[in-house]
Amino acid sequence: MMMLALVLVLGTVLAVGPAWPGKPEAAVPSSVARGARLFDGTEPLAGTLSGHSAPLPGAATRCIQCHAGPGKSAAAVAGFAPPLDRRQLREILPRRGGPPVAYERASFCRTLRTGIDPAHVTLPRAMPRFDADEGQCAALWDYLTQALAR
Amino acid sequence: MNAQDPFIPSQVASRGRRRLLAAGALAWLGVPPARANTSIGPVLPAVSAPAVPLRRHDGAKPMLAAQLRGAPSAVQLMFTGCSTVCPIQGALFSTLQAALLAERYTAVRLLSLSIDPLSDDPVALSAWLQRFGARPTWTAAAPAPEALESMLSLFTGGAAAGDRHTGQVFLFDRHARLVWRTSELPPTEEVMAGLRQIG
Repeated sequence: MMMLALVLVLGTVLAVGPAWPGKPEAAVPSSVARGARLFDGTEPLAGTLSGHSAPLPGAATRCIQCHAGPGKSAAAVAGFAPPLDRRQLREILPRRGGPPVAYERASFCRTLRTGIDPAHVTLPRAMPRFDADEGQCAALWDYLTQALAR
Repeated sequence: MNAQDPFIPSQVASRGRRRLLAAGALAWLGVPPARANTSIGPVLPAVSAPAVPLRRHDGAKPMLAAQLRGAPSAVQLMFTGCSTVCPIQGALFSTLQAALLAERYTAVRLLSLSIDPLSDDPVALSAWLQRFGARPTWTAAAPAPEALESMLSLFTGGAAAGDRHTGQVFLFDRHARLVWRTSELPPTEEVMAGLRQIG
């Protein structure tokens, strides 16, 4: 009888998994998930080219068209626009001929909106000036600067 | 197969495709934008279109000069497999098309010229036009592969390979002569002003 009970308990555990969770998978913060949607265009982000009066259609303003995101290969767009990830944004690096600087969230958002980087260098016209509100900007920053597991 | 057909080369090998793309699209991708802007405004003297056989989205095969002759034309370089600037270029031509219609400037033609003749067949070119809502005055075409170099030299004035695909718009007069180069990814107002200049 004792043996039967043990078998039943063991079978139940194997069937439904342990009642005690192991190491839980880290949940993706909602801002990171939203940032990923903004980056790939699933959630559109309005943008206008410098000197233009009309905004571009959403199909022409997706970040992923020109930039490789965190953990993605830059091969497809190599040489056209820099990859965007934690290292590229947070490290103090010379960019576009300007002095070495690192992006902070505020300067990232300002660059996104004005097309002028933290070293006061103007980005090419092909980089739209985005009409990003605080929430959209923060989500993109969180997504791009997330620490990826190795 | 027509052996004389310039659009069906006897050896379309991957090596040839790589060479063509290297000569056009990939070289352009690595170019600082400023280099493409070295020549903006009127082209003096005007440059006649070279002998470049085209294959259009509708399958017709005119020469470039014949395609451009008879009306002012705005021309852009693109390829349908380009995910970076080309979607912006398509959107800008779509906006230009709307502006031309709004001003009843209907004589002007638009031409999207591919720099990837091995991939951009009439099906791909037609899809490109459809994607951006092109009307009948907007045409897409690709040169015969062996005429690509000649075609690119027209737009860059024989500059280095890296300048070969820009986001500039090139304006031709009704005699198929290149008469105006715009800035990179120009506002519609700039293109319209250039068109008014050439009449």
